[in-house]
Amino acid sequence: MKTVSQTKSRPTVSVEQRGFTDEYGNWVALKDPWTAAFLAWLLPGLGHWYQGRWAKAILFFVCITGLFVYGCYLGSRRDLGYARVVYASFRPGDMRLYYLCQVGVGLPALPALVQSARVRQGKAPLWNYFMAPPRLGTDDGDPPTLSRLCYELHSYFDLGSLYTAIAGLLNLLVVFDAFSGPIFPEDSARREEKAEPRNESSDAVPETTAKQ
Amino acid sequence: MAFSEDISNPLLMTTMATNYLWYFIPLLIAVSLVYAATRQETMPFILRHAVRTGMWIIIFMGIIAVILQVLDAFT
Repeated sequence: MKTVSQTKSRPTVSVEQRGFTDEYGNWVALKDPWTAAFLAWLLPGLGHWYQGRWAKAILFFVCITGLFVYGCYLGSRRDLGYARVVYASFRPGDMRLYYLCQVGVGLPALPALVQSARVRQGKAPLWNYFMAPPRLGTDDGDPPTLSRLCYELHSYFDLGSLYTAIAGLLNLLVVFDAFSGPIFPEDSARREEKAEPRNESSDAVPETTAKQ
Repeated sequence: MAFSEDISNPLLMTTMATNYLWYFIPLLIAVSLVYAATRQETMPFILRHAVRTGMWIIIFMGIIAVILQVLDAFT
Protein backbone atom coordinates (compact mmCIF):
# COMPACT_ATOMS: atom_id res chain seq x y z
CA MET A 1 0.00 0.00 0.00
CA LYS A 2 1.54 3.27 -1.09
CA THR A 3 0.79 6.79 -0.03
CA VAL A 4 1.39 9.50 -2.60
CA SER A 5 1.61 13.06 -1.27
CA GLN A 6 0.80 15.87 -3.66
CA THR A 7 2.90 19.03 -4.03
CA LYS A 8 2.22 22.13 -1.94
CA SER A 9 0.27 23.85 -4.73
CA ARG A 10 -2.54 21.38 -4.16
CA PRO A 11 -3.86 20.01 -0.91
CA THR A 12 -2.18 16.87 0.32
CA VAL A 13 -4.11 13.87 -0.87
CA SER A 14 -3.50 10.34 0.24
CA VAL A 15 -4.05 7.91 -2.57
CA GLU A 16 -4.18 4.36 -1.40
CA GLN A 17 -4.52 1.72 -4.02
CA ARG A 18 -4.76 -1.94 -3.33
CA GLY A 19 -4.80 -4.43 -6.12
CA PHE A 20 -2.95 -7.10 -8.02
CA THR A 21 -1.79 -8.04 -11.49
CA ASP A 22 -3.87 -10.58 -13.39
CA GLU A 23 -2.59 -13.44 -15.52
CA TYR A 24 -1.77 -11.07 -18.40
CA GLY A 25 0.06 -8.57 -16.21
CA ASN A 26 -2.78 -6.02 -16.12
CA TRP A 27 -3.27 -4.07 -12.93
CA VAL A 28 -6.61 -4.75 -11.22
CA ALA A 29 -7.52 -2.21 -8.53
CA LEU A 30 -9.57 -3.44 -5.61
CA LYS A 31 -10.87 0.09 -4.87
CA ASP A 32 -12.11 0.11 -1.28
CA PRO A 33 -11.84 -3.55 -0.26
CA TRP A 34 -14.17 -3.22 2.73
CA THR A 35 -16.93 -1.71 0.60
CA ALA A 36 -16.34 -4.36 -2.05
CA ALA A 37 -16.50 -7.14 0.54
CA PHE A 38 -19.73 -5.78 1.99
CA LEU A 39 -21.32 -5.45 -1.45
CA ALA A 40 -20.14 -8.94 -2.35
CA TRP A 41 -21.89 -10.30 0.72
CA LEU A 42 -25.02 -8.22 0.11
CA LEU A 43 -25.55 -9.63 -3.37
CA PRO A 44 -23.27 -12.20 -5.04
CA GLY A 45 -21.19 -10.44 -7.67
CA LEU A 46 -22.06 -6.89 -6.62
CA GLY A 47 -18.66 -6.33 -5.01
CA HIS A 48 -16.88 -7.37 -8.19
CA TRP A 49 -19.18 -5.17 -10.25
CA TYR A 50 -18.18 -2.25 -8.02
CA GLN A 51 -14.53 -3.06 -8.70
CA GLY A 52 -15.09 -3.25 -12.45
CA ARG A 53 -14.47 -7.01 -12.63
CA TRP A 54 -17.55 -7.55 -14.79
CA ALA A 55 -17.00 -11.11 -15.98
CA LYS A 56 -16.48 -12.45 -12.51
CA ALA A 57 -19.40 -10.42 -11.19
CA ILE A 58 -21.74 -12.03 -13.71
CA LEU A 59 -20.30 -15.49 -13.09
CA PHE A 60 -20.72 -15.20 -9.32
CA PHE A 61 -24.22 -13.78 -9.61
CA VAL A 62 -25.42 -16.49 -11.98
CA CYS A 63 -23.82 -19.42 -10.14
CA ILE A 64 -24.55 -18.47 -6.55
CA THR A 65 -27.93 -16.81 -6.98
CA GLY A 66 -28.91 -19.62 -9.34
CA LEU A 67 -28.02 -22.25 -6.73
CA PHE A 68 -29.87 -20.34 -4.04
CA VAL A 69 -33.01 -19.79 -6.11
CA TYR A 70 -33.05 -23.41 -7.26
CA GLY A 71 -32.72 -24.58 -3.65
CA CYS A 72 -35.63 -22.32 -2.69
CA TYR A 73 -37.65 -23.76 -5.56
CA LEU A 74 -37.00 -27.30 -4.35
CA GLY A 75 -38.24 -26.29 -0.91
CA SER A 76 -41.43 -24.68 -2.16
CA ARG A 77 -44.97 -25.91 -2.63
CA ARG A 78 -48.08 -23.87 -3.13
CA ASP A 79 -49.94 -25.32 -0.15
CA LEU A 80 -46.92 -25.33 2.20
CA GLY A 81 -45.44 -21.96 1.28
CA TYR A 82 -42.42 -20.82 -0.67
CA ALA A 83 -38.72 -21.22 0.12
CA ARG A 84 -39.50 -23.14 3.30
CA VAL A 85 -35.91 -24.46 3.42
CA VAL A 86 -34.55 -21.00 4.25
CA TYR A 87 -35.67 -19.81 7.65
CA ALA A 88 -34.10 -18.40 10.79
CA SER A 89 -35.09 -20.25 13.90
CA PHE A 90 -33.05 -20.64 17.05
CA ARG A 91 -35.83 -21.86 19.31
CA PRO A 92 -35.56 -24.87 21.59
CA GLY A 93 -36.56 -27.84 19.47
CA ASP A 94 -35.81 -26.12 16.17
CA MET A 95 -32.23 -24.86 15.93
CA ARG A 96 -31.80 -24.08 12.26
CA LEU A 97 -28.01 -24.04 11.97
CA TYR A 98 -28.31 -24.25 8.18
CA TYR A 99 -29.30 -20.60 8.26
CA LEU A 100 -25.83 -19.62 9.46
CA CYS A 101 -24.55 -20.90 6.10
CA GLN A 102 -27.51 -19.62 4.07
CA VAL A 103 -27.16 -16.06 5.34
CA GLY A 104 -23.76 -15.96 3.61
CA VAL A 105 -25.66 -15.25 0.40
CA GLY A 106 -26.72 -11.88 1.85
CA LEU A 107 -29.85 -10.00 0.84
CA PRO A 108 -31.70 -12.96 -0.71
CA ALA A 109 -31.68 -14.73 2.69
CA LEU A 110 -32.62 -11.73 4.81
CA PRO A 111 -36.44 -12.02 4.48
CA ALA A 112 -36.06 -15.01 6.81
CA LEU A 113 -35.00 -12.63 9.60
CA VAL A 114 -38.11 -10.50 9.05
CA GLN A 115 -40.34 -13.56 9.19
CA SER A 116 -38.55 -14.85 12.25
CA ALA A 117 -39.01 -11.53 14.04
CA ARG A 118 -42.72 -11.50 13.19
CA VAL A 119 -43.19 -15.03 14.50
CA ARG A 120 -41.36 -14.13 17.74
CA GLN A 121 -43.73 -11.19 18.19
CA GLY A 122 -46.73 -13.47 17.69
CA LYS A 123 -47.67 -11.99 14.30
CA ALA A 124 -48.56 -14.03 11.22
CA PRO A 125 -45.77 -14.44 8.62
CA LEU A 126 -46.06 -12.48 5.39
CA TRP A 127 -46.07 -13.51 1.73
CA ASN A 128 -47.62 -16.99 2.02
CA TYR A 129 -45.05 -18.19 4.59
CA PHE A 130 -42.12 -17.29 2.33
CA MET A 131 -38.98 -18.16 4.37
CA ALA A 132 -41.09 -18.36 7.51
CA PRO A 133 -40.05 -20.64 10.36
CA PRO A 134 -42.32 -23.67 10.74
CA ARG A 135 -44.83 -23.78 13.56
CA LEU A 136 -43.80 -25.59 16.72
CA GLY A 137 -46.21 -28.10 18.21
CA THR A 138 -48.25 -31.03 16.97
CA ASP A 139 -48.62 -31.91 13.31
CA ASP A 140 -52.32 -31.20 12.99
CA GLY A 141 -53.55 -27.94 11.48
CA ASP A 142 -51.84 -25.06 9.72
CA PRO A 143 -49.27 -23.67 9.28
CA PRO A 144 -47.16 -26.81 8.85
CA THR A 145 -44.64 -27.94 11.44
CA LEU A 146 -41.07 -28.90 10.61
CA SER A 147 -41.85 -32.61 10.64
CA ARG A 148 -44.75 -32.05 8.24
CA LEU A 149 -42.54 -29.98 5.93
CA CYS A 150 -39.96 -32.77 5.91
CA TYR A 151 -42.67 -35.36 5.26
CA GLU A 152 -44.44 -33.42 2.51
CA LEU A 153 -41.36 -32.15 0.72
CA HIS A 154 -39.61 -35.48 1.23
CA SER A 155 -35.92 -35.37 0.30
CA TYR A 156 -36.42 -32.07 -1.52
CA PHE A 157 -36.34 -30.43 1.88
CA ASP A 158 -32.78 -31.71 2.42
CA LEU A 159 -31.75 -31.02 -1.16
CA GLY A 160 -33.08 -27.47 -0.98
CA SER A 161 -31.36 -26.91 2.36
CA LEU A 162 -28.11 -28.20 0.91
CA TYR A 163 -28.27 -26.08 -2.23
CA THR A 164 -29.01 -22.89 -0.33
CA ALA A 165 -26.38 -23.59 2.33
CA ILE A 166 -23.70 -24.28 -0.29
CA ALA A 167 -24.67 -21.08 -2.10
CA GLY A 168 -24.11 -19.14 1.13
CA LEU A 169 -20.77 -20.80 1.79
CA LEU A 170 -19.57 -20.20 -1.76
CA ASN A 171 -20.42 -16.54 -1.37
CA LEU A 172 -18.00 -16.34 1.55
CA LEU A 173 -15.21 -17.29 -0.89
CA VAL A 174 -16.49 -14.53 -3.17
CA VAL A 175 -16.40 -12.00 -0.33
CA PHE A 176 -12.78 -12.92 0.31
CA ASP A 177 -11.99 -12.60 -3.41
CA ALA A 178 -13.57 -9.13 -3.51
CA PHE A 179 -11.60 -8.07 -0.46
CA SER A 180 -8.15 -9.26 -1.39
CA GLY A 181 -8.20 -10.62 -4.93
CA PRO A 182 -7.82 -14.18 -6.14
CA ILE A 183 -5.39 -16.68 -4.68
CA PHE A 184 -3.29 -17.57 -7.70
CA PRO A 185 -2.21 -21.16 -7.17
CA GLU A 186 0.79 -21.95 -9.34
CA ASP A 187 2.72 -18.82 -10.09
CA SER A 188 2.20 -16.67 -7.02
CA ALA A 189 5.92 -16.70 -6.27
CA ARG A 190 6.79 -15.72 -9.85
CA ARG A 191 4.15 -12.97 -9.76
CA GLU A 192 5.67 -11.50 -6.60
CA GLU A 193 9.10 -11.48 -8.17
CA LYS A 194 7.77 -9.63 -11.23
CA ALA A 195 5.92 -7.12 -9.08
CA GLU A 196 8.86 -6.09 -6.92
CA PRO A 197 10.80 -4.01 -9.51
CA ARG A 198 7.67 -1.94 -10.20
CA ASN A 199 7.46 -0.94 -6.56
CA GLU A 200 11.07 0.09 -6.35
CA SER A 201 11.02 2.12 -9.55
CA SER A 202 8.23 4.54 -8.68
CA ASP A 203 6.33 5.71 -5.64
CA ALA A 204 3.17 6.24 -7.66
CA VAL A 205 2.85 2.59 -8.60
CA PRO A 206 0.78 0.73 -6.07
CA GLU A 207 2.11 -2.27 -4.27
CA THR A 208 1.07 -5.46 -6.02
CA THR A 209 1.58 -8.08 -3.40
CA ALA A 210 -1.06 -7.04 -0.92
CA LYS A 211 -3.48 -9.81 -1.80
CA GLN A 212 -0.94 -12.61 -1.80
CA MET B 1 -42.11 -33.44 -7.08
CA ALA B 2 -44.24 -36.46 -6.43
CA PHE B 3 -42.64 -39.51 -4.92
CA SER B 4 -44.01 -43.00 -4.99
CA GLU B 5 -45.46 -44.18 -1.71
CA ASP B 6 -44.06 -47.67 -2.32
CA ILE B 7 -40.64 -47.58 -0.70
CA SER B 8 -40.55 -51.30 -0.03
CA ASN B 9 -39.42 -52.11 -3.58
CA PRO B 10 -35.58 -52.27 -3.61
CA LEU B 11 -35.39 -51.84 -7.41
CA LEU B 12 -37.48 -48.70 -7.18
CA MET B 13 -35.27 -47.39 -4.39
CA THR B 14 -32.15 -47.97 -6.52
CA THR B 15 -33.71 -46.04 -9.41
CA MET B 16 -34.59 -43.17 -7.09
CA ALA B 17 -31.04 -43.07 -5.72
CA THR B 18 -29.66 -42.91 -9.27
CA ASN B 19 -32.07 -40.12 -10.12
CA TYR B 20 -30.69 -38.09 -7.26
CA LEU B 21 -27.33 -37.96 -9.04
CA TRP B 22 -28.85 -35.45 -11.48
CA TYR B 23 -28.99 -32.97 -8.62
CA PHE B 24 -25.24 -33.28 -8.35
CA ILE B 25 -24.63 -31.68 -11.76
CA PRO B 26 -25.72 -28.07 -11.02
CA LEU B 27 -23.79 -28.22 -7.77
CA LEU B 28 -20.69 -29.52 -9.53
CA ILE B 29 -20.81 -26.79 -12.16
CA ALA B 30 -21.45 -23.96 -9.71
CA VAL B 31 -18.88 -25.11 -7.15
CA SER B 32 -16.20 -25.67 -9.82
CA LEU B 33 -16.75 -22.29 -11.47
CA VAL B 34 -16.91 -20.29 -8.25
CA TYR B 35 -13.92 -22.06 -6.73
CA ALA B 36 -11.90 -21.55 -9.92
CA ALA B 37 -12.91 -17.90 -10.08
CA THR B 38 -11.52 -17.33 -6.60
CA ARG B 39 -8.20 -18.77 -7.77
CA GLN B 40 -7.87 -17.03 -11.16
CA GLU B 41 -8.82 -13.64 -12.58
CA THR B 42 -9.44 -13.92 -16.31
CA MET B 43 -12.07 -16.09 -17.96
CA PRO B 44 -9.88 -18.51 -19.98
CA PHE B 45 -7.89 -19.35 -16.87
CA ILE B 46 -11.06 -19.64 -14.79
CA LEU B 47 -12.65 -22.08 -17.24
CA ARG B 48 -9.51 -24.20 -17.45
CA HIS B 49 -9.23 -24.29 -13.68
CA ALA B 50 -12.96 -25.09 -13.35
CA VAL B 51 -12.65 -28.09 -15.67
CA ARG B 52 -9.72 -29.40 -13.61
CA THR B 53 -11.62 -28.84 -10.37
CA GLY B 54 -14.74 -30.52 -11.74
CA MET B 55 -12.76 -33.55 -12.87
CA TRP B 56 -11.06 -33.74 -9.50
CA ILE B 57 -14.43 -33.68 -7.69
CA ILE B 58 -15.90 -36.37 -9.98
CA ILE B 59 -12.88 -38.63 -9.52
CA PHE B 60 -12.84 -38.09 -5.77
CA MET B 61 -16.55 -38.86 -5.43
CA GLY B 62 -16.18 -41.84 -7.77
CA ILE B 63 -13.47 -43.28 -5.54
CA ILE B 64 -15.70 -42.80 -2.49
CA ALA B 65 -18.58 -44.50 -4.34
CA VAL B 66 -16.37 -47.45 -5.28
CA ILE B 67 -15.17 -47.80 -1.68
CA LEU B 68 -18.76 -47.77 -0.43
CA GLN B 69 -19.79 -50.35 -3.02
CA VAL B 70 -16.91 -52.61 -2.04
CA LEU B 71 -17.74 -52.25 1.64
CA ASP B 72 -21.37 -52.96 0.85
CA ALA B 73 -20.44 -56.11 -1.08
CA PHE B 74 -18.52 -57.53 1.87
CA THR B 75 -21.05 -56.71 4.56
